[in-house]
Amino acid sequence: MKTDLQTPPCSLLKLLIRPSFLLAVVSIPFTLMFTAISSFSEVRDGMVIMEQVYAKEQATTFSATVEMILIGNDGGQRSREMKMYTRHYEDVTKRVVFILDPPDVRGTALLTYDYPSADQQDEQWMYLPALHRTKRISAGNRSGSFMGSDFSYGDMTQKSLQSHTYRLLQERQDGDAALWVIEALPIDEETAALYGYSRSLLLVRQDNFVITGAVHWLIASDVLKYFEVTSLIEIDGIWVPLQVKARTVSKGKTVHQTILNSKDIELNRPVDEELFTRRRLALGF
Amino acid sequence: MVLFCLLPVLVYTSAGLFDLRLDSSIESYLQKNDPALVSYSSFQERFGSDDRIFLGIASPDIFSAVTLQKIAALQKDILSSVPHVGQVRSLTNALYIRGHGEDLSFGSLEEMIPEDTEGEKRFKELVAASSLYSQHYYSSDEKLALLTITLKCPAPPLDSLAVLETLFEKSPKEDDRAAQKICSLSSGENEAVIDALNRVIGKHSDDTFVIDTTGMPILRQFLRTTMKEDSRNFLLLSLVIIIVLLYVLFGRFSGVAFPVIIVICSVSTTIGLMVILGKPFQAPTRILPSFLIAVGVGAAVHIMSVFYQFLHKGIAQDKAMAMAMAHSGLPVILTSITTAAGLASFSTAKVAPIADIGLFAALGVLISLAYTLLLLPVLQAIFPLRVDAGRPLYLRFPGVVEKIIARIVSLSTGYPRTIVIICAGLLVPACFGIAELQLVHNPLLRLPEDSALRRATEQISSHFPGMATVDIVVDTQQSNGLRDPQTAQRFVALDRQLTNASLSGITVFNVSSLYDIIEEVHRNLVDVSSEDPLASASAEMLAQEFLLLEAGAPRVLEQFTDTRQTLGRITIQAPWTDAMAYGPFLDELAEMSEEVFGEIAEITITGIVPLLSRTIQAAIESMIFSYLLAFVVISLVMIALLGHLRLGILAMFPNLLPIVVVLGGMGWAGIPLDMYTLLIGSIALGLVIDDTIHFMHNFRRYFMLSGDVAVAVRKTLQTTGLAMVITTIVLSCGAFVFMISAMRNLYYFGMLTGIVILLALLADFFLAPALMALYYTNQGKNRDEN
Repeated sequence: MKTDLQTPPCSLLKLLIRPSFLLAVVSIPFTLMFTAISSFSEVRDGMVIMEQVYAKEQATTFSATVEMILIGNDGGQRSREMKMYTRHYEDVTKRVVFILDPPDVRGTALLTYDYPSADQQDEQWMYLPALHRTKRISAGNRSGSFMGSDFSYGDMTQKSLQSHTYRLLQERQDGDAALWVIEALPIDEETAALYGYSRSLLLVRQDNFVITGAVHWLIASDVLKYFEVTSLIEIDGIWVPLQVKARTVSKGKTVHQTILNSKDIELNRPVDEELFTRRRLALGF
Repeated sequence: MVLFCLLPVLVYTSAGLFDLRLDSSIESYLQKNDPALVSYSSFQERFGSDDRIFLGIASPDIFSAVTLQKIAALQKDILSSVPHVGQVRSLTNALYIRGHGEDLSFGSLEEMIPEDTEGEKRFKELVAASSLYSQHYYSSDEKLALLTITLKCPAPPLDSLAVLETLFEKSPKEDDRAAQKICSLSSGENEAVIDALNRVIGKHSDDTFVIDTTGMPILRQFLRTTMKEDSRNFLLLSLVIIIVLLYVLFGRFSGVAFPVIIVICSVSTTIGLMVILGKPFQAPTRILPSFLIAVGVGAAVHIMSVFYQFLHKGIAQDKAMAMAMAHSGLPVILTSITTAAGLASFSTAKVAPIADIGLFAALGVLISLAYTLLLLPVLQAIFPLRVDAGRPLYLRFPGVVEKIIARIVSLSTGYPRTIVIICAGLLVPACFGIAELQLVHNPLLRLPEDSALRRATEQISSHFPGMATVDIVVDTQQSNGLRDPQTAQRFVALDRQLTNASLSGITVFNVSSLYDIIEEVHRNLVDVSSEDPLASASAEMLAQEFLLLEAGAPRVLEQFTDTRQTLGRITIQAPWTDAMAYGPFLDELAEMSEEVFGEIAEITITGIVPLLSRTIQAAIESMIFSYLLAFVVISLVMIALLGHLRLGILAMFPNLLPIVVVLGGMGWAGIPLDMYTLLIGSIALGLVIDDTIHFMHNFRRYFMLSGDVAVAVRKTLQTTGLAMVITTIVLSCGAFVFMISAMRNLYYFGMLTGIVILLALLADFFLAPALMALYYTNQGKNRDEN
């Protein structure tokens, strides 16, 4: 192009038979082919990395004491302490949460069955000690907030690998950690509606395939959700986050934050299956 | 040289005209630091935008499967096709809480939309059984369904890579400016919303599904369209009138071209400056261009009428201009200063567009003066004029003009006492009329009676007399304060007291708060038949019900409270009425709320209605100050000009009388004072004082030469009197131009300002000479006695 600009003006015909123009025309298919190969490679790489993320050894059972700190846009905080048990089955993840503090909700318990299949609606029950009643709550999709926090029910469970397409955007160094930045897009509108995100960027650590950060675009909204694992520990070869921060950002301003601090973590210890039943909710852990 | 200096200024400022921003929002009427706007902004920051469009849907049976399915389809289409929509709420997607055995479902009525007659029956029973739907989503007479669209604040597009960088920031930057700003769409975004909505409505409406729309975004769009049309029409008509008048009066091309060039330059520079200083064009400021044309032409007319008189006497062109400048230069400068002072009295107004009118109209007058003094000599030097090119109208009929002047002189100086007594007599009925004046501020009442928006609003209001919303923000000042049973009881008590209550003549249509939903949850958990189900709820019970709601319907909680559950919001729906009536209503509402909550919470009342109320209150406060300021400044200028305290004060009477008479006339005719008609006094005072200054300046000069009042009055009218007539005709026509507006308040503003200007000329021709005759006769007597 530079050569063309330097040459004196000429007719269109002369321009068409010029060698540089012919070269450019001939090179277009090669350029397109190269771009296609490179895109394919990015898609493949993104998927390969995410396959590694999903292939990591998972704990069958998990229990921890979790402190949930909720921070409003005015900086006001309130916190809850809870005992959380999770058990993964092939077709369902069962989780039970017993609230320890504050005193007015102590003894309240929430039992959730998360089904990885989008076709099957999650189920949850809540035990209310003040009424001595357990209620089955039907509350729609997984995009709803988990107990008023910045985490949705969808965020608390591992999504199906096939529910999204992945693209490696770039490699970054963050302090000592080498990271992959991966873009995840829901495969269809139904999946997007189910989880509530239209697009996500994930930070994956190259040394252990752990997702240490993410930003999600809320569907049909100008709101972003940021997640950051600020403390990570390896227990029996399994990486477990000790502290996770979530921020909801609207128009460049943080409108809400949640900090989850975990302690007394136990992995792959036997957990009584009875714990994940409605009957046990009222009895506590 | 002068042209060389002026041209860059003109080009730089005029370039700004292409970026002129139109703003028709209600909230932009108040200054950014106004407490009402600050609390509204903080309310929006916490609870999101309350910018709503209401769709009233009339159908033979609003509960039929067909109608409900049509509403659902309309709603889906709005969400997918209309930009900036945050939320759409209707009977087909309202929150639904249902306890059934051990199950408690939180969901949307969408799941219950019927498909057959049996389903219709079930749906109707379901919504009738809950207090969450009637009067919120359908009228109690079941004739109209209401669909509410809440618009969301616009945000810049989120670029992936930019977002990626924020992910790595250790302490993320917070964009506080975005949050502090009032959340509203720009005029272009608002227009895009309304256009898209109209297309969707056009697609869905038919004879059995009639849709009416109203709400602030629609009103803004209507005002914006009217504003654009008005501004263009005012500008063109003002120019045409001025061109015709100047040609009739001067009878030559230069007499038209020179003043027109000057006013076009002045208007371009002034409006360009507005853009450069980031000021939007708002409903009241639309009068500025045509107003500046009428006012700006005055100085040129005064100089040119004297210039042509000298030219026709055979004086050389350059010398004639120099002599005209010497003759009329000082009064022209003084009159421009007094006009600017009258207008500048608004610049401190608490109502933003009124302050802008004050600032930029005053600047415009001074810019126009500068262009007149600098460009007129340049233009006459560039374009040599032929002496015989044409004669001004008044020089073509010298006999008639002389006769009229002689008649005025004999009447005003011959019967001064009678004239003064008649004028004083006019003040009595005028004062009674002023006492009858009513203040109004209702954007809806400004609309023409036959406008579609007004009809639609009245149609929806006849079924839902709660189009105006007020929010009470209850701050318990403690974390989880809303879960306290005592607080819950107070919320419920206030809700009960306010529902259907009449406060200062305004009946509350509906009250909603978080406790409506908590009550619904409670009813579904505990078998209570009491009218006040929360009466027996313990603190633990409430806390757990909050938690249940948080788990089941978290987004509902966000609409009514904050994270710590410290703040609660109570939304009051009231009829759309005049903003003046809202003042006492809001006072009573605040008093009642404070009485109910006592020491346990702090109360803030906010929303569009308090903003409207505050706007009119700010306008009144500002106008009282502006009237006083304009009167004091102009009186001081007059005293300085005449060099005499008593004479200066005396000279103010011919200016005040027309204003008082017109205000009194408004009271008798039942024309209300509003945001526009409130301006008449100060604007008219600034304008009509010009003629008085010209009269007094020349009168003093000729009286000192002749020592005879009648001779001085005659000489004054022969020279500057003609220019006074010309400028009065120009100014009054400039005001009458506003009568072509479809908006009633602008129509009255134009008509009444024009009448004041005409009356002021009569006062200058009759009352001013009469006062001078009385004053100098008394002085003569005193001197003789001494």
